[in-house]
Amino acid sequence: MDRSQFLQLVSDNQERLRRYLIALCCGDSQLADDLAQETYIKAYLSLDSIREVGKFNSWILRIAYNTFLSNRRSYRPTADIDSACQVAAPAPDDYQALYLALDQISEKERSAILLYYIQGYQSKEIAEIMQSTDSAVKQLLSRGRTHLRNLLKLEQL
Amino acid sequence: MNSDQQNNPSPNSQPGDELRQLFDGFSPSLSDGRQFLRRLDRQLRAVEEVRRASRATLLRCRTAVWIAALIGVLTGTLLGAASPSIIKSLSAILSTVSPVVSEYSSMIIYLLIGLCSALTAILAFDLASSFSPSRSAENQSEK
Repeated sequence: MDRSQFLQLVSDNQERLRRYLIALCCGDSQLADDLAQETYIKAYLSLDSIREVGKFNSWILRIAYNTFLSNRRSYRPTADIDSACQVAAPAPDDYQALYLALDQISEKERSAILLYYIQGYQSKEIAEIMQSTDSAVKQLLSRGRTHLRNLLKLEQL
Repeated sequence: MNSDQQNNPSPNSQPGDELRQLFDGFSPSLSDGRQFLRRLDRQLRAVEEVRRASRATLLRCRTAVWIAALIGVLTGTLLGAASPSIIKSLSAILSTVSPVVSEYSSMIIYLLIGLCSALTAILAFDLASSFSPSRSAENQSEK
């Protein structure tokens, strides 16, 4: 697969991936875009490892999830508290409450919930993407749902 | 049909699932897709450039190593073949200077042959890596 073919696949898939990453990054679209770029570069470099082109979407999501996790692990806040206070808060949109709630649940729960509700995957496929087991994903989904419901109720009050 | 194609946006809809309703209408505003693809294209071109350069370097190194090994072995063989006459003349010289040192003349010669072969191989590696065709092509493209 050459660059133009890969870009063609990307243009069909990028909106889905970016939507997932925006929600995973709790509304930080700049970070989501950077992670999406990193994901596609990693995918391009390891194109030989993809077994079925038909599973491109789930393969990309797996890379995106791992990229997100490694980004979170290496994240260190560098600005001091005074300069951080001066940074303008992102403009609130329709999903502000959802992003706040998503930010308060664990990354695993968040990813499982998003893959299920936004990407439409079943627990078995989510387990493949998150390199986990079916039962663990079901547990994550159940816990994530409960947490989100409680948090969103809290947000609405 | 593969599993990616089988996925629909709302699987397992359960009645009363308020989260399902919340996520069904989830469509955050994304930055311009064409701009995103242009940026990705630029990055992929850069990746390809780095890949090409590292492949060329690897090839150049491999060729240089083979040339250096060949020249090193050749030098060692030639000097080894000539060693009896060298040892004879060196011991003649050393016996006039110091008879004790002349006893070790063959050992000194073999050490010198080894050193000479190694130095020639290193020199050959440097020359081969700087004169290989991929490097000259790279230099031309830089100009």
